[in-house]
Amino acid sequence: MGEVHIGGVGMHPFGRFAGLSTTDLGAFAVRAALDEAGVYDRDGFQATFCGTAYGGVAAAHKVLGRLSLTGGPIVDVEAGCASGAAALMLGAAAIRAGQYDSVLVFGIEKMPKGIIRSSFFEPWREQAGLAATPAYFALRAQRLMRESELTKSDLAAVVVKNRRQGVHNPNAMFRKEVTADDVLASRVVCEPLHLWMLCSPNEGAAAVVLRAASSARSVRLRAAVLRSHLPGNVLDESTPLSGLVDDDVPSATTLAADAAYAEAGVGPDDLDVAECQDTDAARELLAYEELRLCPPGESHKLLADGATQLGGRLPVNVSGGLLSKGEPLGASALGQVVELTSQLRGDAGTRQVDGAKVGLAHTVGRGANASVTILST
Amino acid sequence: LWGWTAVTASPPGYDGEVPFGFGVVELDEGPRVITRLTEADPGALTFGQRVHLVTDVVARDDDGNDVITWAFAPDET
Repeated sequence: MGEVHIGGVGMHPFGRFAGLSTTDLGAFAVRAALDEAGVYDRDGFQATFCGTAYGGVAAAHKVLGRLSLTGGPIVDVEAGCASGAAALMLGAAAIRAGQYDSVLVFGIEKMPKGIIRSSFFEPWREQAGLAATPAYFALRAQRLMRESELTKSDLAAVVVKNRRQGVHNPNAMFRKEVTADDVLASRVVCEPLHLWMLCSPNEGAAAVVLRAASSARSVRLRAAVLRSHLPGNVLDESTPLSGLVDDDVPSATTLAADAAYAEAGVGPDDLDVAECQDTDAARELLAYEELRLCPPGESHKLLADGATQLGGRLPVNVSGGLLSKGEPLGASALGQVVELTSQLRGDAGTRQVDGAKVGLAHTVGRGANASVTILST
Repeated sequence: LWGWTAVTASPPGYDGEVPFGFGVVELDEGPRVITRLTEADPGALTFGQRVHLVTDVVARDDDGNDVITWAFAPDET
């Protein structure tokens, strides 16, 4: 199978942009990625895959229409929080298969405000109050605390770390440091999770140009894996998120990680930098375990040792994570890829991880869609 | 009772009162059920305590009908 290279990346900052449409955000990111890749006409890429959950019908077509770059196949992809990674997987597979030499992959989103409304929940379940997404996060956080001696202080420490790192990211929504006291003083949304321990749904776009051939500043895409739901577990509404009703199956994240490590030919010990799904503070700690960055039950030690902060052994979410950037579903996975590409090129400025050669990105969300992407120099 | 929290802000499509209890109950037969709880104070609940099934009137819909769902309530101690 052939290699896949990232020839250019672009991003519209994540945040709230009242005057801009989803198409505006997408056009900004796509133009930047194509510019980096040196693509200035329709012949520069043969197909487009776009991740979006709330973008509506033919969302990517509108973006390419704005740029007068339609004509090739354009496919919108939805896989919950992993939508952008799903688009990346399809684009990479098409290049590996020899179908195309160059593919445009991007993600776009303008999320409604407040608790995410998802058509995943049937109306009767909404009426019963069971479409309370943060409550599922809270139940998972409570379980992690029960099983690994985590405390609320550890959850606050994740927020402090990511917000401190986000200060240096011009693409982040929140760029102000917070203290643990600040985090614990914010209101309780669903015990044990306080408001500042939860990421904000928001708006943004990110784009990547994939190629079969390397170029001057390209990095390698070593694995782009998506796993959806869990083996032997029927997908129904009582299991909207993994880890609550089953003990005897591996998590979707672990399934994706193991497949990605095998595909890339690297292991957790080879990683220099990682971006992971910190939808809530406990979710990042759970990801340490599920991605095999630490043994089960020891995520708080990895955090307390400083291993996952900038300057540590394996910095996690040096972009500031979703806690700093916010989460535009379709764009968030590709935002991670943009960050890692910058890190591997060595041009991440004040948040650069020295000598980073191998990076991992992770998302997980509705439908137990989990993605793991591995990049290397 | 396997897991519990309280929802303090109305989730989408919900017209009932907040806060309300929300959790996971493990049935004696093994399966776990995601459910409303009648107790909305997380501090009043403990892991493994016994609960029982009740019906819960959540709200009244636009046609004046009660919106009824299942919930679990702590056993009397």
